[in-house]
Amino acid sequence: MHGVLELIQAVDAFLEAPKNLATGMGQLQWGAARDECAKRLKLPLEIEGEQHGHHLVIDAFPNSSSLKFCLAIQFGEHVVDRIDYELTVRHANQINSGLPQMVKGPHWHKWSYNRNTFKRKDNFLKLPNASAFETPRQFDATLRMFCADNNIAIGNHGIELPPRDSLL
Amino acid sequence: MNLNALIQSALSEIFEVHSVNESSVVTTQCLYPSGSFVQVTVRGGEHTFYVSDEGMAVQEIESAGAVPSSPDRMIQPIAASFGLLVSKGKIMSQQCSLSDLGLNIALVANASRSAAEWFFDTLKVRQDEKFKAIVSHFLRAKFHSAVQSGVLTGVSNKTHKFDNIIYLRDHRKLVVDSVVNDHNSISSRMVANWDLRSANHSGIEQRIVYDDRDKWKAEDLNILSAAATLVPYSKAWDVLSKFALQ
Repeated sequence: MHGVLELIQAVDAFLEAPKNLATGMGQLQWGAARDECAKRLKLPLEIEGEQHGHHLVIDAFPNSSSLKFCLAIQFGEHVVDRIDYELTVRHANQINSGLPQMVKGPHWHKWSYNRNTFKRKDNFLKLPNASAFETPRQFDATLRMFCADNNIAIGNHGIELPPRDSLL
Repeated sequence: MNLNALIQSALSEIFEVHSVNESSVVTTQCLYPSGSFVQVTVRGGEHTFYVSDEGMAVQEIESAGAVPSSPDRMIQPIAASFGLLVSKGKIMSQQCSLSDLGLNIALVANASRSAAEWFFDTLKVRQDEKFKAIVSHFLRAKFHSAVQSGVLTGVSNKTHKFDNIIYLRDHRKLVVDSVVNDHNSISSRMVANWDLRSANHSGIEQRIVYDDRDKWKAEDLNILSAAATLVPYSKAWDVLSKFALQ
């Protein structure tokens, strides 16, 4: 358990702090992901004008047959809060999570559901608990909800999912 | 409705099959470490089929922030133990007949889950960057906006960047640096802290927090202690809390 408490406190403090997205002045460029069907946008997060190596990561799947994307807060290397937006997925929560045992469709792996679920700080976090969205949302509304919940000011962010680039 | 039919109905609620483009996606009874149900994709015609996890095992660990350097090589032994193939991060069956399709769906799903579990058990967060970030955010949680990064000038007249300068009462400053058990990390922070200490600025206190979960050589700690007072990470909260009260 060594160091786990400090990691939890550090993530708590980070998520509570007001943050800005460092989007720069130019047009945002989606990069290639390992998965040839995916594209990735990784934007630094600033606290009081300083960047400490933490990011908002957006994965898009432009050729998916239905809306599919992933939003994540990456604290150093750890993803600590994530939305998996996909209509056909199923997710099972831990028995003692206090959440419904199963979630269908888009779901949110909130830090608050998962902050006590790990025992080693050098392993990547599984974030095993998630809640469903009550109503399906489009990308922009989901991004704004996610950022607001994590105290990230985005304003007129200019982030749009990349267009489909294949017929099938 | 008899019990068998009830069970069949309950299972079909979850373990459904749906079409995506020219293939079918099957939700299986296996679970990834994140709690997601393993889904596999089936392609083929009336007599021959192929089953794939479409790279979901690798995507599981990537969703957690890891970047596996050569995923195919990593998961190939796991896939092989199920009699399966790996290509471009995807675990795949060989061509199979309808009578073997159910078995191959189960094999791919279990191999994909096993591969994802292996990633979570094996891949580790790099300690140097993580340790630096943890110390920084730990200090910000403790001292709030009194912590700032900045540059300070040493006796050599060279300026050094410090991530954590804490502005205490009475115009005093507490400089807290972090170091991991790595030659480059030790050298760079040793030079910066020694140069600053040698300048004898009034009102500046220096501490170096080192990661005491590693096995340090005594001589490395001795060198660092010549540059600033050392604090083991396991005691940093207690030691540095005293400054918050001053």
